[in-house]
Amino acid sequence: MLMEISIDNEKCKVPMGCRQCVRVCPQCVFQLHLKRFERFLEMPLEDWELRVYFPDMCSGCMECVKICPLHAIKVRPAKVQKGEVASAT
Amino acid sequence: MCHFCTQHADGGKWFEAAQNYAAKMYQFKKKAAKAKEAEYIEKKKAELQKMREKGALIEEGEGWYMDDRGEFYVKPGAALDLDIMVTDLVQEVIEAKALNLDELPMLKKKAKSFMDKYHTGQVVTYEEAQQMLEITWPIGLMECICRRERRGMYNDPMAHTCFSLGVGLYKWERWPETFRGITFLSVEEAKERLAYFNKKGCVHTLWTFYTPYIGGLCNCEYPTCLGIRGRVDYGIDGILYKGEYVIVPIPDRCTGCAECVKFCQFGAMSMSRSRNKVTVNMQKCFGCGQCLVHCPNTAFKLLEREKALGVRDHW
Repeated sequence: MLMEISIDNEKCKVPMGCRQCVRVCPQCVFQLHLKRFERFLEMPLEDWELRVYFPDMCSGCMECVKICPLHAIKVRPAKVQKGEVASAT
Repeated sequence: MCHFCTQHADGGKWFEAAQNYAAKMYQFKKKAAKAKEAEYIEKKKAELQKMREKGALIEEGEGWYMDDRGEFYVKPGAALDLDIMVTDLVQEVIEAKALNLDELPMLKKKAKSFMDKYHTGQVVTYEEAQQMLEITWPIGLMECICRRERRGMYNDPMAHTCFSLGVGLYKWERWPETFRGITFLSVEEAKERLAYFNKKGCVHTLWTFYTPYIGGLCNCEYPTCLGIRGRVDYGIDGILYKGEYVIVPIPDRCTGCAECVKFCQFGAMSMSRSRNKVTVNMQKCFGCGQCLVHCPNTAFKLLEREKALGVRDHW
């Protein structure tokens, strides 16, 4: 079943400072990426953003939800419309 | 002998041919782009416009385009960041796999075409990696971008696993994000580090920056490495090529300790419990040789992929 993971970026402002979800995820679903990128400059920690990169790999074990100190991650089964195939796997 | 060997080397393995590390390959690209800047770009732009009118361009983005044969090209004069382009293309494939199966083959082809031309990888064995370190200069050890992004190993000495090779390294000061925490190593030091990673169970992979210029030797692991994951889980063929060897088990020597199963990053090994011997899925084997390194009884041998007729086309 395809899981829907939502990250509240309003709550989780500096994911690079915490990194708990990225460390704990057994399926390596998350990715930290630079939302603002400038050449030849080192970006401050605030410019890293957490996003879901492999959503179809999520097993729904809820480890990230348990460990997040800010309660910014929500995991639930994706809504499927009638007659629609949710996942190829 | 993969297709890179026939294209970019004279009779040997392509990553053991010194011309693929040469400064010329790197400089040439830059100089050619600069010298021809005005007229070349104008000419190409006119060509592009013609193709656009004909409808031969399938897709166009900032700095790149794709023609009707599904070939990916970077626009002349465009500055494209390879890492960001890779992540974006793989993300398209991942989304299509979950939601839009019709477009999946096309997107896979697009990603393969891009990787083939600009930023491809190949698995090499420990001995081949040692030879690569002997050919090239300078060598730097830097933080792995995959581990930083997908495991949060930022400013972490454990994540310093990627060797950066060759002249591309001289611009390290200008790119603080890319060459994070770089230390320059002599060949002996680099070999020591390589032996350490080999003992740890990392897979050695080479990476090109504008194929065939080889500029990186990484020590990867599943599932953190985007190359291994993209190939194994999502079937993007061009992102990481298989090595020059396949592994063959020797059942008489196997004692069933299952040490090799622990170290296989590609899911090719399994234990046959009734026989208490290892079985190898040779279609899945990438030929990295990690099982051979960690086997206490040397119950494997490396066979050249050329000689294994069933899997000689599996690159």
